[in-house]
Amino acid sequence: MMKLSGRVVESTILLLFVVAMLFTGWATLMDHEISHTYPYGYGSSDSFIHYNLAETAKQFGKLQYFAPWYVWGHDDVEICQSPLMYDTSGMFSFISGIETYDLNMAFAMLAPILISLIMYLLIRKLNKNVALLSLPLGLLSYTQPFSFIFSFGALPHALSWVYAIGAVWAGVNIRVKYVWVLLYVFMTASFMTHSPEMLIVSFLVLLIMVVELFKEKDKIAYVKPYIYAGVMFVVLNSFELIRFFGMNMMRFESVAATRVKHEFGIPFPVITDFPVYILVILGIGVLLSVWLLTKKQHPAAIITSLFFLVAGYGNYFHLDKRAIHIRMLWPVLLSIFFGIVVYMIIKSLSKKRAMYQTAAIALIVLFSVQFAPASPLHGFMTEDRYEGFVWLRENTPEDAIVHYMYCDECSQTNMLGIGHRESFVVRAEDIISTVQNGSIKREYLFSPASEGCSVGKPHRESLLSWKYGFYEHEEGALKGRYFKDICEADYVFFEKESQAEVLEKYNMYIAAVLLKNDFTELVYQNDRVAIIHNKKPGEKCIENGKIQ
Amino acid sequence: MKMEKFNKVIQELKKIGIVLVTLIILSKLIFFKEDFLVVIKFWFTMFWSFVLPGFLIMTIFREKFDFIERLIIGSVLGLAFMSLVSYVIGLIGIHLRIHGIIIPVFVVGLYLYLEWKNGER
Repeated sequence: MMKLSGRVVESTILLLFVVAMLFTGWATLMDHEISHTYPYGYGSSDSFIHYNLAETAKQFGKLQYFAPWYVWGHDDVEICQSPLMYDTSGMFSFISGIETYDLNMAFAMLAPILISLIMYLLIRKLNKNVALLSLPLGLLSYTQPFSFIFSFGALPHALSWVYAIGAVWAGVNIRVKYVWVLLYVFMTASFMTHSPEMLIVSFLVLLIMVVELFKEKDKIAYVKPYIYAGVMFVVLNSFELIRFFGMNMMRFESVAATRVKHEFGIPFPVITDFPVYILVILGIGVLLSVWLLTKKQHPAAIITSLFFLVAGYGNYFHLDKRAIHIRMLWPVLLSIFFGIVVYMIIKSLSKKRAMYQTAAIALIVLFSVQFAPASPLHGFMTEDRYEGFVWLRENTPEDAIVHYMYCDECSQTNMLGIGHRESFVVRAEDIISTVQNGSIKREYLFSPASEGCSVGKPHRESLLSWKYGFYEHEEGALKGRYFKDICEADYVFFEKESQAEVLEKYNMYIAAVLLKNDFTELVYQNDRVAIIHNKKPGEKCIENGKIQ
Repeated sequence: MKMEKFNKVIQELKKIGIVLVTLIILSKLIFFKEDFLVVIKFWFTMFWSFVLPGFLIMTIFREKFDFIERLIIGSVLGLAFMSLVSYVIGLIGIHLRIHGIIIPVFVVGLYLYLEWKNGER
């Protein structure tokens, strides 16, 4: 019987693992499609801002400023998000023809696979069989609650962790000539994809450096590549660092630890979310790993996983939400603890190499079946709703103003940016109180349809300073809400369906009242959406009064 | 000796080609609701834009790391490198539309040029 070489077996197991992760993760969560007719699986406002920024990059050929439609027509508002993922997504979209909303998800879904493979390389330095046996734990990445990283919109976070773990790999291999350049590249890519990951992993890279430093005879020669990478990072990224610190993008928040277990009704992962038997294995693995630290030549993989175990509790020491993102990746970051225990069990039964490889294959197959998500991701975008936004984008003037009346998920205001028009959305509390009053009116409380720093609208005054907020008539909006006259809008967007039936009927009542004017026209509708065009913005279109 | 190294890289690129074809076929089974052309476009773009440039850059380290390590790190490096270069050249005015073509072409061209120069010496 032909004996396969170790390399071939290793490659086959890795390929099997990648395919298993693709099947269990990306394929199942995205309903076995790569491309969709609308943003699929998008369950939060953050998901949509990533889509909107990628589309901005495509539209303008680069990403430096927010699109004017996002920021009240201003063309000099700098983005305060790290730009790299959007640029990458836009570039990939041009070549492949796949929409950026699918590509953003794809990159995030591929992140646990890539992180697993890099962790494999780190663990392999310790022991190849432990590395193979560590792989299967990664298959939990796509189970709830770990998979919230995708529906919750932490997409650039996931990609940034790929680069950050790449930087750990580079730190571990820093003695190889020129690897310090890779350390610089990975740190920069992480910083410019989503900065907190780079900041957190810097501590890990420094920790590994200090641990290895004790073993080195020529300590200065060992430290030099780190210095080269650090200097190169600061010098070549100086413009971005100025932007980062100048726009106050680094904030340490002190919040109650309980806040990062649940938010908006969403449970974030905690250690007890691992199945009990895996939790027991991990616990034993942690103890074994700490013991091994004192014995082994290549402790980097163990140090890495212990670091992320502790950092996952970072909500207790100022890491706030970043601790959640680490926990969402615990299945791949803590995998060595699993692999070590399974290795020890098999070693006690048999010393044949084939046993470890067979066990790895069996676990990959078993976990693919056991931990496959039960259903695809459910976002709140529907095809009808998306078609309404696209109609606005393709059929209205670029400077058109759109008012969105009540819809169930319109509080996720970045979703409204899909229309690529300056948009305002009515505040639910105002609509509800107006309905309770039994009245109809022209002026409602609105919020601008943009979040985060775009509400503050930073525009550069000089190399080192920015001005926020704005022009006098926009001052009120800095507080995020103010009264606007719906008769001033060029287009009014209604949804015909709502979980709150009374608000659904109120929407249709306002639409009917608007259409009584001879200068308004229903220009688009489908099963969910109706869009009314106001040809005379500013002219009286509704009489304040009681509902008839 | 130099030609031997170049030939080894060609052999490795063939292995990458096999990985690409395998991934495309298996992905079509996994993404069974997806059009085959979309599956091909996705993986081909991934390999052309990220894996190939990253792997060619990693040939600098071929004496130090094995094929698997260079492929994995090269894929991530390619993603990082392409993204960073794309961002910078976008800021200087080259439209994003052509980045996915010109940057890999530049990397491949540079690699071939350097191999040729090494071969001449």
